Amino acid sequence: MKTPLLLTALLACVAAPAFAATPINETRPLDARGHVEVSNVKGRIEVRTWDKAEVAITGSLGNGVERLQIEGDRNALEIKVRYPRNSRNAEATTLVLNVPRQANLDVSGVAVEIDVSGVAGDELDIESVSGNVIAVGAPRSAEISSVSGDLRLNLNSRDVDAETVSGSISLRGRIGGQISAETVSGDISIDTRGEAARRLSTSSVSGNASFTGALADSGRISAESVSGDIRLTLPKSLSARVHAESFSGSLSAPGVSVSRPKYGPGSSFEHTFGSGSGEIHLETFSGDAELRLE
Amino acid sequence: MTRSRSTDDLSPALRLQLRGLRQDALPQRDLWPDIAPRLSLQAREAPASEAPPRRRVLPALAAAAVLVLAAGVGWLQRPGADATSASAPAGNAVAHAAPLVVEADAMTREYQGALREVAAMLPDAGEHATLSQLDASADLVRDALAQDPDARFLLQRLQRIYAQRLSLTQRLARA
Repeated sequence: MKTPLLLTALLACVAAPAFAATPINETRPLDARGHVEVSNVKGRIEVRTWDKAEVAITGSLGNGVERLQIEGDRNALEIKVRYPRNSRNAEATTLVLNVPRQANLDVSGVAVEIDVSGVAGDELDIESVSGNVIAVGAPRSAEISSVSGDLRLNLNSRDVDAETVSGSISLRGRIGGQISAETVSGDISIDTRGEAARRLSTSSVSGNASFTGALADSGRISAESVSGDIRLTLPKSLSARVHAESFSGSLSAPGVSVSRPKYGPGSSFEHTFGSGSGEIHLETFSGDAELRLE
Repeated sequence: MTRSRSTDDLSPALRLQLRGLRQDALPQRDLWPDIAPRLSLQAREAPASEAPPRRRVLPALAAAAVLVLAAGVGWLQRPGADATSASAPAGNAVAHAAPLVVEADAMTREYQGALREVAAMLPDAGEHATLSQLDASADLVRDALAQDPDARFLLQRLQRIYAQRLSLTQRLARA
């Protein structure tokens, strides 16, 4: 009689982790332009939008997680996965949120995959350490950063600021204001789908950077790199003064003459395209810099 | 005095972050032509009675300077001073003469000190590969700066890397 009981108890222990994740099913009211802040340490955060004035929170709370904390009111809501002090063994938590389309969103995670789609509020802030980030939408401004995760962004926004250390940045979308992209070793790829940006700034150490788009009247592009290559692809109607310099990388642009000092390293050029209303500055140490007109 | 004490009380990490905010702003025109006549005017207008105290101040300043110099030489000759300088970032002869490289070396020493403090609280797991990546990138930029010591953007990039390194280390220590 004792043996079956013991066996059942053992089986229950073995099976427990499979059922350990606690389902989440919460709903809170939120104004159409309210603010949602969501954070998680390990797992996944997925945000979708709808036309309801409420936030639905589903997903599953990982075993070992202390609790899901939901605070705030219909103006601002904070959703936080609370881990115990020693949370090394806590399992991953998945949060799936449905928020009003025009809500402002602030998402932060550590080892968390973040996937946001459909947001069109004033602000979208996403911060991750090691997880990848996917963001699709039309927030007025977006600030998105990760340390080692890749950023795959498809945004029709006025201003976008993207930053990683080793992750790559891929930014697509009609962005007419300020774009800033910075990495250390990750590559940067930006395409504004023909939209003329007012200001573009890229910076990397060893990552390559490419920009395809246009420059607004009196706009400014600044691209710098240490050993990574820089490539700008702009329309043939470009109107800008271009200054480029490199210590040991090669410089190229249509119709320019690159000057090199008689003695020692270094090369540079200055050239005015069109009426020269905008300004472009390219600088590298050993990376190549190229300006293409298409 | 109070100001000095409160500055000393700042944590190295905060001090470095404040340092990162520093931006040199050049005047839009040459200000010296306006300043020089005012200085000479002030010198002429200064009452004669102020001269004696000034003479008394100068020897005091000279004595203080000698004391500071002696303390500095003593500091350099202290036991283990060679080891400290050996651990400081090395540079070639050209680099030693270049202000940006000197600044980069000083910045590196300060950040390394701050990072040592924060790193003591760092858990074993985490983004250590990324920290190593940042360190390797900092070395790459410093090597580039040693070869191209007039490239201001390299110094600014180095400062950003150290700020990111410090910020990430703090964040991991808090996690």
